[in-house]
Amino acid sequence: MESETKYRRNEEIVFREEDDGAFLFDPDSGDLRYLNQSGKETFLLLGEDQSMSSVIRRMRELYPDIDPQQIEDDVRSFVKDLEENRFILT
Amino acid sequence: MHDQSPSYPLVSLYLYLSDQCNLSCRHCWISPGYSENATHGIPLEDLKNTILEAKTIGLQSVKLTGGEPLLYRDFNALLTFLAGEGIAVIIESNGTLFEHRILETLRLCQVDQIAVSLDAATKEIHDEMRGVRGSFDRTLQGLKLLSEYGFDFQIIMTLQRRNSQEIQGLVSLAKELGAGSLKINHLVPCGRGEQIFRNRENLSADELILLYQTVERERSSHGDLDVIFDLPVALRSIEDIKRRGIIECRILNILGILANGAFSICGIGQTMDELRMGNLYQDSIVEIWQNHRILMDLRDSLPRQLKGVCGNCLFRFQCLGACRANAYALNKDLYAPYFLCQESYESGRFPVSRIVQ
Repeated sequence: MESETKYRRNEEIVFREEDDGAFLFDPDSGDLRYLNQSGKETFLLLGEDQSMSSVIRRMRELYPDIDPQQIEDDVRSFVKDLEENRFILT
Repeated sequence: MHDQSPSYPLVSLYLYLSDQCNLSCRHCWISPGYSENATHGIPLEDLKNTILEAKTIGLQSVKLTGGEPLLYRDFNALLTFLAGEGIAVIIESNGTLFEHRILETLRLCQVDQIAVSLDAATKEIHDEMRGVRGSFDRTLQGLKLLSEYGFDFQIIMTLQRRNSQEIQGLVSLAKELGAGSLKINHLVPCGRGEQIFRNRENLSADELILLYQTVERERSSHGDLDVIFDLPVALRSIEDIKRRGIIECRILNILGILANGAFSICGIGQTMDELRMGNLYQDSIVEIWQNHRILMDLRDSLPRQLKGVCGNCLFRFQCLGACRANAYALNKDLYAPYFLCQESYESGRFPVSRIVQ
């Protein structure tokens, strides 16, 4: 099941944290992604070998004022993009 | 047969229509001759033929610049031709020669962007930098006409020590005139700008970064005016990158044509003969674009051959080393690091998070 899939970072990807966000950089292709604060937090959680459902749960705890469904939709869409572009692996 | 689907489309041509200018700016990187008179430049028919040929390899836009492009005798006819061909037009001018007939043509041709140089809100400073007394008043008149005609124009200032206190004044003036944006360019040590660097009248990388941060902090006070501080992307804030994206010279998709008909990677061929690549009177632009060794070498080598901090920069694939023409002018090496990034790296101001070994 999708919610039980564990994600981990692609070790070949460079992750650079800055005050207001972060960058993901693929040194091979040159692909570069900007992550805002919540994207950065999501990516860090993914780095802890977590499942989609646990990442969503943790993000809901971090952002209690945001609609829980919105958080779930955003996390799913974000993770899908990262996975498709091999910034994260399963 | 020419390849109709090149992997590197020639998206934009920079047309240096005149090698003359009616101003004599102390910092100009092209160093045109001084003239108040209209110049012949490339015969219009030759230019048209080259533009039509360039369309077969992807041409979408042209930038009309110079010298002062409005000195080109066939300026209006060229605009009409470009509009008829559906080619987007960007104009860079000192704004002193705008008059009703030209503005009517600009309006009819639906020119996409007009950028006018104005270095200060203070008349004396602008005139002194532009080398001609009265140029401030003439440019201001031109800007008012642009506003009257409803153009969404950009004001460009070239930042150096003598006008570093003028930013706020220019923001106010640009708002008053109805400009859409104010672009703050850093000075490059190229052409006449070289002497300004020798005299240490330029701003250091550290000073530029501090001014950039001040402008960024004051962004909320700029209202609808978009203030664009032009620094290499690696030196910009993450917030600014998010807002504006990564905007750098698209060296692999542009070609310059000088007023004498020579092809060059941009205007640099004006001062660096070795960066000229044939001439439209003798050579096919398609042949030059597809086969010239300088362009092929750039395609093979950027960004992987970039040196210094540029070779280790997180943004090297997008930025491609900022301005390669300037790197060459300074080092005779198309892959030398961009001077501002290298200077900031050596002074410890280059963001560590953006260096990838």
